[in-house]
Amino acid sequence: MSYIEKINQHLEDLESRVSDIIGTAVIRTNGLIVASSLPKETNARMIAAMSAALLGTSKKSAEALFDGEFNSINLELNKGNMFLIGAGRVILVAITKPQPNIGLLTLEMEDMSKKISKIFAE
Amino acid sequence: MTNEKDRLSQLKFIASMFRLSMKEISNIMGDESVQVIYRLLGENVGELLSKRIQADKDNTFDKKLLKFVFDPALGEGGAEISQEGNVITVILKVCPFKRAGINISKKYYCNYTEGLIETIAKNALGDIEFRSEKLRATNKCDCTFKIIIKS
Repeated sequence: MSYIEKINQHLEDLESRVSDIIGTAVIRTNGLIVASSLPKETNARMIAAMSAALLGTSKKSAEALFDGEFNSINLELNKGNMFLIGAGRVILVAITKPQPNIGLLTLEMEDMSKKISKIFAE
Repeated sequence: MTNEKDRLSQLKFIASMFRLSMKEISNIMGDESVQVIYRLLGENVGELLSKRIQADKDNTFDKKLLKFVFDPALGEGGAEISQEGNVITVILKVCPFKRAGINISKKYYCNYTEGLIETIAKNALGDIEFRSEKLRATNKCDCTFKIIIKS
């Protein structure tokens, strides 16, 4: 099974576990899309670019605050949330409905980020 | 002569401002943000140049790449393009950013070049795979990119 097939399978699995998720993507840190199931009405290329920029800014914020390390971001918007988590050499992104179950989302995203991180470490 | 001196001073001032700005932008926004900005910039310039390349019916793809993309930025002889089967190799012997005294070690500008070449190649050749084989930013003697034509 190729990398992309494995990742797509993981993304499908994640979406089936968290019903609030309406789209997911795996993105390289320079903003290039590796795999995506983002809704058709969204601009996937721009979401990927903004995700990389959010990661960059968040890492710098983490350094400035307590010399810490980036873990994840939950961006709460009026029409839904955008959740980003580092997964080794890539970023895992999920777009959700408004007011998602943050507890479940966080747990499942953490779990999935580890699985995706392993794929790229192979 | 004085005009040339003035112009050179202005360019040095702008290059210096650029260097300092990039340092602060990177400090605040992080490497990933800067990389994605340069990648998108490269893709956008690639789209613009693709129109000129498509309008030129007289030259082959490699000649058009040199004429519209590399010669204006690197000077004649700054780039070499060859093709073997379905693989096109682009070798850039000059880095305009390094030549301007800009630190290239963080590979920001490589993202620009990659976005530029990949976009132009996709528009001109269709289904391709793009690979960066060597980069001057990682202390190699040149930048080498491969364009693999799939269809």
